Amino acid sequence: MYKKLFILLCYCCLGIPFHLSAQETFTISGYMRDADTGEELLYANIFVVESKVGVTTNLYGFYSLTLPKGTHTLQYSYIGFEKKELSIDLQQDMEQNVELVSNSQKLQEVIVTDKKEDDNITNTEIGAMTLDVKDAKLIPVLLGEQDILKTMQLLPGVSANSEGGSGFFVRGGDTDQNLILLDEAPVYNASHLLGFFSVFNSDALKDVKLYKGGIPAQYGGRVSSVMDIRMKNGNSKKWGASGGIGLISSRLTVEGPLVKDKGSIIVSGRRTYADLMLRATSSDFDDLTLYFYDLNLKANYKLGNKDRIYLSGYFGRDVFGTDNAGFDWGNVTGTLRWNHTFSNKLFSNLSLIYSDYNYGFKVDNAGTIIELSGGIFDYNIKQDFNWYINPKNNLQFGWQAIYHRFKPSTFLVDGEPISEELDISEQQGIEGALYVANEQKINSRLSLNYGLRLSSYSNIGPYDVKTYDENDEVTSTTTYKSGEFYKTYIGLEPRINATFLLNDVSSIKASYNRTYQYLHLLSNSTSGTPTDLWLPSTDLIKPEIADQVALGYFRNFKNNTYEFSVEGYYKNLLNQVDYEDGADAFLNPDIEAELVFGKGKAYGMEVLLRKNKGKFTGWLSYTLSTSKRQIDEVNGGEWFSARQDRTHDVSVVGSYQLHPRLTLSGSWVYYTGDAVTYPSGKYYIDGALIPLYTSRNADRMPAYHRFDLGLTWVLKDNGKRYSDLNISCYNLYNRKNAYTITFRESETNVGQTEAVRLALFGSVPAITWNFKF
Amino acid sequence: MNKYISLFLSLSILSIFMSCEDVIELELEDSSPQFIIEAVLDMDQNNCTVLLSKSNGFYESTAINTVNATAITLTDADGNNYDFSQETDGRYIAENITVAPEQVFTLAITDEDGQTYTASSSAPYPVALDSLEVEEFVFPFGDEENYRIFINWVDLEGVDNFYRSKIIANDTFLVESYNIVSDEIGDGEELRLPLQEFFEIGEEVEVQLQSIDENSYEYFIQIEEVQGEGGGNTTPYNPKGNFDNGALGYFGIISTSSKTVVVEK
Repeated sequence: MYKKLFILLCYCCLGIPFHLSAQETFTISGYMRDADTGEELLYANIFVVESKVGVTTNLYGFYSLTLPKGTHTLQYSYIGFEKKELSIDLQQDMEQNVELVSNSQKLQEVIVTDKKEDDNITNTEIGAMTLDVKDAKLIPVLLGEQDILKTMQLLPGVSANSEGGSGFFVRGGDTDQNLILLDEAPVYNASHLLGFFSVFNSDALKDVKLYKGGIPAQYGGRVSSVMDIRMKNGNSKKWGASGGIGLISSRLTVEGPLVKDKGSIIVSGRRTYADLMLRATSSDFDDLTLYFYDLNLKANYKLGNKDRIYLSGYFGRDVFGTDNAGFDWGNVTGTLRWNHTFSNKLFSNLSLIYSDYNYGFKVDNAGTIIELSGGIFDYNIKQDFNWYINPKNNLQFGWQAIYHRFKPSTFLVDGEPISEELDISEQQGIEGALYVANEQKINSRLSLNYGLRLSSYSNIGPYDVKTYDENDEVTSTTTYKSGEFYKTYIGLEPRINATFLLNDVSSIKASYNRTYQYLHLLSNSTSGTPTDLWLPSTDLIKPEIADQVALGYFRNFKNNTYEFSVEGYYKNLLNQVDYEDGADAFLNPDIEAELVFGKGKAYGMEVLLRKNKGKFTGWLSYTLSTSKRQIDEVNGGEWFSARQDRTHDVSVVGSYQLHPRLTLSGSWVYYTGDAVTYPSGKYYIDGALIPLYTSRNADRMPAYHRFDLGLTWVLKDNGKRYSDLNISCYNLYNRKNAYTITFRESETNVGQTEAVRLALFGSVPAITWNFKF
Repeated sequence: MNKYISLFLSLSILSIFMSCEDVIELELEDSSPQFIIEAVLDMDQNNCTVLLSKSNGFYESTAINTVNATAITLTDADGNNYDFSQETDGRYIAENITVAPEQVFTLAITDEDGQTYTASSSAPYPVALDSLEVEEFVFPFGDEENYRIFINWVDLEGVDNFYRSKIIANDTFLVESYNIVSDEIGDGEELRLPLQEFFEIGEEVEVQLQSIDENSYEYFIQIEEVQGEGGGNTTPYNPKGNFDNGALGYFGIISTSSKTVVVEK
């Protein structure tokens, strides 16, 4: 009975033809790699010409196809590489590793790629963007520091959180609602130097994928988006080095085979030297230390045909100091992975992940040492399976458990806690998840990707749980012992994406997904500071929940030279966290009492037109959107605009190859100013001017716009040695974009109030020299 | 500490990037004027002063927009009423009020539209300022000489005390430089607090330590947060005092102890 039921289920849901065993089938599986470096190619395509079925490689470059016995023509393709066609006679299960040769010069024409020319039409992803790291380097950026997070901000639905910043908003969500993964390890603070640079050194990265919607079931933990960043494995064929020297930083990467064709290693470092330059300008800065560094390491080794081990690590830190004070913060992540192929159809990966973010502040105040520190760290174990059932079904399932430890802030004077009033206890918890998802081709036109994620969060003692009255006074305290589970939330997160091919060049896609978020970042400044607190869900702070529906139309023109897409989305957010009026987050053990909770909604339309081929390439992106919040205690309970509510957001990015060795590129961005609250009046209390406000976020910062221009000149490229010079100018027409607007009493005209604009960057030129051998 | 961090962060922004600050024309919506009450019962002067005003448009240059009341009454817990006389437009005073710690007073004010606003407060225990200390302070950058002043006093044990310090430097009242503290930092202990201002040699500085009631404390904590801020960095809001019916401002009871020092090496 059960067996029949199972067969029925398999047939109905997965289309597995158990009863049709007449035709014998065999499996062809293997890895796709770059012929030059041996790097695995992720999301690359394998297409069977005769039966018109296909599959893509997974996150480790593995693929598996089960086909009827007989001869087939297999096309292996990946953008930027020569297509390879193999004719195979499938008489038994076989292994076929394929290496593709890069067809491009070092200067790529295409900047943002989909992996197959018409992949944007046919895949089941909606709201997903992929960025090929080496191709992003043409886009001019602030001070010449290549930054994938900033390049992502030029795409529809993604917006910078502040001038020059690497933080971003996705589809009306907040910055803490983005899950940023570096080799599967969550990065809790992805910015250096107040957000002007991201922690991701492009030299060490292979592939970046951002999900704005239609988030696959394998990801969870944040409600807005997932950014999955993968580090390079290192060249497994030969040793080499690459790097660059820039205005404020230098980079160096060394990679090569540990044991030829068995394993490779890559070490990549970057360090800025802003302080050295400052010291050169004035003796005032003699005692100043100010720099950040990033170090990425990765090694992998093949243990036979079925097993492979990867070890990757990231260390980064900002250091700021004078002779009597110091302030530093940074992330450490580590990932140990074990790929195992159970059979040619079943691939698995087991990961052990460590992630740590912390900050420390120390000042020597005439002999008294004042210290402040805090952070968050995780131990994380997860296992993912890919089961290539047949060409029509690719089943993914897995589980995950994360142990979180939150250390909000510790304040010490001469090594001793100053007062119990300022003592914020550590908290611990376990976040768990189980998921299953299937990518299924129903027929030649309709494909589905559907799945379910079951997530949970449990608080674990020791901890004192407090309840508060209306005046934020503690009314009761319950003490939980070490190891005691005292609150568990469970979330059921359905995810479904559908793609319907209208014809060879166009498709319609739709998606629905629900996401849960159990961790919340409390920040009350614009750009975020290193001391912002991560807090878990508790009795009082409920998990944030988002439901998103999206619908899109995708169309390619002129043999895939042009791509056009338009997507619409509607997002409903629950349990959004905000501060009550006048909340004091700093060193406040009862911060929970000062939080207020509400709901949100965001909707919008995103248009993207992109030219992928030819001397001129680039894209035009436009987003029309709204993001609102409603909190009973704020604005009289009326809906108000979220700060990141940017009605219009436009990016134009283009690059033109003037000469095989010379490429000119530029980008222009425009967006509606942030929703903010300006004073609508003033009054005086004991002689001091006090601004009067009416409604929350009812005003706007001035619109933001900026044009950047860059020129890349290849000095040398003879196959063995390569070097180029990149000259760029940020904010070419010197627009004074407001970073903040503050109000003050005029110094020259007493009693007169004035608005003061702080603009951070005028025109900033930069020059960088890059090399590779 | 927070101030140190912001100092460091802004310094790093300012020094690395050539940021620029300028005054811009920004159109602001004018809200309907709000009723503002500033009422202080002074335990040392035995009087209660009331200042009534309406909020101005943000760019209006008039310093203060006073309004008159139709009735003001101050009542103590025993039912004694004190009458107010008008000094100038919007300014009223009641005199000969004896106040003892913990005594509760209620102030009721009726505006020209007939709306009445009421607030109550309980008198604080007066605490005396002991001494002022001048100390040199070296900034991390630059070589300017700066001096800080510390206030020392002994908190009264067993009761909740709230304090507000005020600075009058060379006869100028520094309206935005004050400290607001409660004795949560050490009940009954010797307290020492640095003033929120740096001074130069030769300056004559009068420091007032006011013992204030809890309502004033709560109100000035909020005032401190919204002062000098606006649009962008924090979530702006209107501080709420102890008056009902939506009037802004507060009714507080204070006792002042002051000392003067001349900054020397």
